[in-house]
Amino acid sequence: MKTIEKSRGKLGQLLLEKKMVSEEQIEEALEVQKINGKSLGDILIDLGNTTSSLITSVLSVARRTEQQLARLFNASIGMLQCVEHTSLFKFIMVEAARILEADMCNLFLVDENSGKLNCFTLDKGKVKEIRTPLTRGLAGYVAKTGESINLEDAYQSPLFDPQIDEDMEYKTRTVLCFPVKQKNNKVIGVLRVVNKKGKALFTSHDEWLCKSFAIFVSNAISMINGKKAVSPDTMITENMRLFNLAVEDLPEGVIIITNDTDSVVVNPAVKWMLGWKINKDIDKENTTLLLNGLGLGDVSKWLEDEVGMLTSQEITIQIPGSKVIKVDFAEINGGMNNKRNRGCIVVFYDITKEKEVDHVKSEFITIASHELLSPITSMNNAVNLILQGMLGPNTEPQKKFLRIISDGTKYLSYLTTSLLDIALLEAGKIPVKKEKVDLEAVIKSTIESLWFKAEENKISLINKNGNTPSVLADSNRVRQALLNLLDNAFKFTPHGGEIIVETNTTENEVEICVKDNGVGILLEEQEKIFERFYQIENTATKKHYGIGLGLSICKDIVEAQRGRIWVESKERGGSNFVFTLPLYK
Amino acid sequence: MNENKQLLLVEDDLYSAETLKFALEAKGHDVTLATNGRDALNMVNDDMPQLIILDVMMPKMDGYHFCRLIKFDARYKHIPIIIVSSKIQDADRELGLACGANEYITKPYDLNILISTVEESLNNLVEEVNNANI
Repeated sequence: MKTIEKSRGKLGQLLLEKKMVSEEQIEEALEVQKINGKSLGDILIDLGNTTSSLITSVLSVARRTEQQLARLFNASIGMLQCVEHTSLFKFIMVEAARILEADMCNLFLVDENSGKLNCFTLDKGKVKEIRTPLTRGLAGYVAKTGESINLEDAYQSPLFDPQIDEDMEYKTRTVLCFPVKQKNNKVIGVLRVVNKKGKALFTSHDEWLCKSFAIFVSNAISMINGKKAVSPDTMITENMRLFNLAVEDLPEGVIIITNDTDSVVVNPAVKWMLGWKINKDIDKENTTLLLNGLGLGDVSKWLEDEVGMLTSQEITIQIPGSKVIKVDFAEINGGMNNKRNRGCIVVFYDITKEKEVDHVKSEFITIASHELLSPITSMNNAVNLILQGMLGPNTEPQKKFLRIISDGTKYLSYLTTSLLDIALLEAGKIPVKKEKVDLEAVIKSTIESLWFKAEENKISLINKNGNTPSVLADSNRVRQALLNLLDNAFKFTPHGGEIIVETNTTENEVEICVKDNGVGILLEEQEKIFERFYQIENTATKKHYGIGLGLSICKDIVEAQRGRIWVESKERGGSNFVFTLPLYK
Repeated sequence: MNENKQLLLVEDDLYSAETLKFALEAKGHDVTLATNGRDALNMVNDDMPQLIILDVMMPKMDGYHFCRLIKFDARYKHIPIIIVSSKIQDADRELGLACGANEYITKPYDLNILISTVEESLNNLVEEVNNANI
């Protein structure tokens, strides 16, 4: 509102003084602004400001902390259930690799008498022991200093001893090394986790996971070395205490509650995120009350086996200012006793920022579409009216320049609608229906709508599909995908060429093929053409076509309908674009 | 019915309005222009147009509101309304049709397609009147 008043103050007053506009016209102009809410510029600035904060919050949501915590919890209980050293070491190495999504894990234990590290590894599922001097290698360094190491490429580090790869007949790439410390901070061992799966790197979140895992390893080793028998109840209480330590610094709120013990895990983030003011000690009773108060009463019902499943939900909390919190659940094995135990991990993610971005994004889409599409449409229509000679005859040079304007506005119009399509798809504003679609009819009507264009370009457009079964999809989106592919085919098919649409039915899917006998696509380009803004160069004419969005939109649309899309092509041998849709059953 | 006041074009963007008005007039239609919903409402009352072409985002009264007022008024509801809008989301279209619009065309549109939609609607109207007379 302030900007409106301000703009009126300057420009409005000036125009009024010069008697160029009437008071009424200004009111009207202001009202237009009010309808539009904010100016395009304001929206763009908002969008920029919120996007950077979005990136961090998206990363935290993508972590699926509750799943990792559940694995960590189950592993911690599993460790306590091991009764002898070999099975415990095996369990530790298997679980560390699984939880950290790594190829393998070695456990090193400090032998106080010899001053050496005992290195344990798994060889065909059996625990094998290798002795190394305490000072050597990454593990030696970690054992000596108590510091952790995270390396993208072990061979780049002077600390790394390649001998270990030779001993184990292995090639180390990424490596994460964490000390296993006693309560008094004395290092009793080292966890060495090797090669993150999928050629990825270990993240700072992995470091947190590994550090937490090491806490439970230390606990389990001291339990198994302990002389006195410890009751299961004491063990589980101690385990919950350690978990409270592990989740203390997490940005997400974490609650762990089981039906096996009265101890609960509640981290500080729960309190500040949910505005929970509590002066008493946190126990099972007041935690249950908190969950009930948040409308998450199903958690305690689930613990008593009264409801079947807990599903992720969004809640809105008013603690000065509104917050949107996403709540996710994960099931855990509750405890040590033999009775049927169950527990639940509740993780709270603050997604307020993302919701704001969503809002700004959809505002942007509305404003952009109005501010851009209206003038583009007017330009396009006006220039075409002149070109058609509706305002009198044009000279040839005039026609030439009018065509330049016409092509330019067509390009702008295509660019704007494509970008809006993508923005809408990304904002989830294009809902994709899943219903029975008569594919044969959709293909027929889509092709019929292009007959005029085919005739104009002297291309024969052939429909070879028949007896095609129905698919589970969204008919408008199927049409859009097919139109995009046909549009693409038209661009690369010379006069006199042909475009064929046909379908193949497989066990679960229908393949829709758009074949042309145009210039074809180079093998190295075939993967890239579905990326945003990738432009194919027409080798015959050396002309660039479009802006490289059509096929990427196509891919988005097809994948939103649980289909796949690819191209089979040879240079100069034409292209065959294929997308699949699930059969309606 | 006044034969000279066939089409009412409701559009606040004068550039859009002028091109469209010109194109329709070139095809022999008579076009009256209103730049906001409130003026348009008065014109409907005075002139009883045969068809309305309607923008959505306008000052004073937006297109949806205007459309509802026309379509829920027994005197005017027979008048076909074609919404031409830059609001391109499916929800906008659904809202437009729920307000009683007969067609919802999004910008950028092809002039020829818009004109043929207008003419089709007018022809349907003539047929309906003929059928009613039989």
